[in-house]
Amino acid sequence: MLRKEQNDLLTQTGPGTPMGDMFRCYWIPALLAEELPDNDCAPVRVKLLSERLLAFRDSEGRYGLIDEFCAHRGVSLWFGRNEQGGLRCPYHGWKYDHTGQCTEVPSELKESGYCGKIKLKSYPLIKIGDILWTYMGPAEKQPPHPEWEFALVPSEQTFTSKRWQECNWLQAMEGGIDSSHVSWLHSGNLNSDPLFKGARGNKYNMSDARPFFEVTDSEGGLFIGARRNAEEGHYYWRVTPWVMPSFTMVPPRGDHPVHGHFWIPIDDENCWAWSFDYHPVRALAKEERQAMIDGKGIHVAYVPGTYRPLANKDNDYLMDREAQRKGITYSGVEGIAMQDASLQESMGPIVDRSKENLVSTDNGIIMARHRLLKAARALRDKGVVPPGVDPVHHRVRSAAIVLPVDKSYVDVADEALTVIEGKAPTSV
Amino acid sequence: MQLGLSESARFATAEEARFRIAYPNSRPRKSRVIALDEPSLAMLRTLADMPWSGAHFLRYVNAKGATDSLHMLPVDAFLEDLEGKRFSLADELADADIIVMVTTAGTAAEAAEVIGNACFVRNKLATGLVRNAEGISAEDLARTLTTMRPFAAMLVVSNGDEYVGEMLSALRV
Repeated sequence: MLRKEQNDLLTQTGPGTPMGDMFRCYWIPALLAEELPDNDCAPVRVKLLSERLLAFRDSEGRYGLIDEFCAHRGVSLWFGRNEQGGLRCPYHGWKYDHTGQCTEVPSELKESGYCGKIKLKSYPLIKIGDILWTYMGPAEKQPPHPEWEFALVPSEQTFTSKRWQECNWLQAMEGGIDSSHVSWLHSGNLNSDPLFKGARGNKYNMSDARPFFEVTDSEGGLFIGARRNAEEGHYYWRVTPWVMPSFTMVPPRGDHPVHGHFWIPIDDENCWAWSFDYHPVRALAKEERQAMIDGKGIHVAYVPGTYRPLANKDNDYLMDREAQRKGITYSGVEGIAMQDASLQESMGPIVDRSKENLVSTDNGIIMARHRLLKAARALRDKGVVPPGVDPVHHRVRSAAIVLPVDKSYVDVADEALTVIEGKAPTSV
Repeated sequence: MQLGLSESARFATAEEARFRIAYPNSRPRKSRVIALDEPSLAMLRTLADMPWSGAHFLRYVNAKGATDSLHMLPVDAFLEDLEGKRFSLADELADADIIVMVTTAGTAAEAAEVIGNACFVRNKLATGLVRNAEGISAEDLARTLTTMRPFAAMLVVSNGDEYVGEMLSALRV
């Protein structure tokens, strides 16, 4: 349960809000690199943290992320001509470079220097892995570049997708640290999805629907361990790292690629669910990559030409009551990603957390909210840099491991939950 | 309401959220919050004046042997509330919905085991909240966790005391 003022603080991320200021401390995913595939390609509208922006790639391959609207008459520069080192407004020909600097105002004499006085707000846009990342905070506080393992491994070892989720970022993100729902909502998929099936750990998941949990603080956020019964004298642990503000990794299954998410606010009622799969020590198999493209695992099939899921609220998520009855899917919605998203969107754009009834096994969620509130207030009141900004905090992994009953995942954290280059994930 | 859209599209709007039924959807829980050591008791005292939903704040005093009326318990224990009034652990657990043990890393192994056992045989789920702090060794923390692990459905290690109040508030104790 959260009071309204706490809920407002956590869910509002526009300019000038405490949580908005906090998101503006981080490098966050802005676009897939595939959205700007070539120099001088079409610009792309981007809305992040309630700011309307435009991304483009100029003639020299430089990426720009600038205010969407021309400083002259407020026209959307999405209509602009991307040519000769800049983006030209088609209305009166004003031209901008990748930093938002106006370089031409054709109606004014060049000698007047008028264009030098016009500059659109812009943010840095850099390519790391398959993602274009931006930092939307003050230039003087720009942190080092992100070091998430999934983005640093060779391209043949990683795959990233994104999907539009029509609800606030927090209720989407909270699904990523709520391990106890897996045995219910996704039970139909563990033994059928090509990116999940066949792992020894699945049988522990299915045979023990009431896991015990341990939550521990980490420097960047939390580790959330879910413990289930395994063979005599042993427990099966699934450990989810959460790094502030919105990065989570799903514990691995067998030798399948490891996956995880970012949840990034578009505005207060929409977010991007970024989903990645990678393997730290091997290339993704052709069949694995194809399954991800086809929307298996944590990815989705799209409405053609968009990043909107094919199953969405406009078609009731293609609800299949017969599949629900037969147990093919537990909720009647196909696919792990949309099983989550359909329920999270059903809460409404911003869920009223004053009405919820949390139980002790929700402590991962309770603690994540606590860490977020504490960090947002510390930033607002004292300028304290929040956890998760330091790239050292990015070098975490999830793990699935069977341990003797007298051991905890905390005991093996250094080895299993930390990125060690060239070392395979700890997985069962 | 916009016609022509799917039910999910029509009903998952902020406008429709206004029509959610505004009646309470739960009754107050019967919560027992038990400090297992002195520092945790001092911390609970600072929280006790906040507006709770009937939470009973207690401290563990010591174990006592099982009595004839308590066949199902291997042990019972004495508890005290913040005014020093004594209670039986068995009585306190009988109708409890939420049981939270609060302790400091490195302490209270016996208390955790006694309460954990009592919860286990009564099929109650306990939450263990371990307050970690600078200066406490990894060995001390591990010892406390090892003791509590078999009995706590949820075990939380928290750096800093403010989480205790946040968690109890979130659980509506």
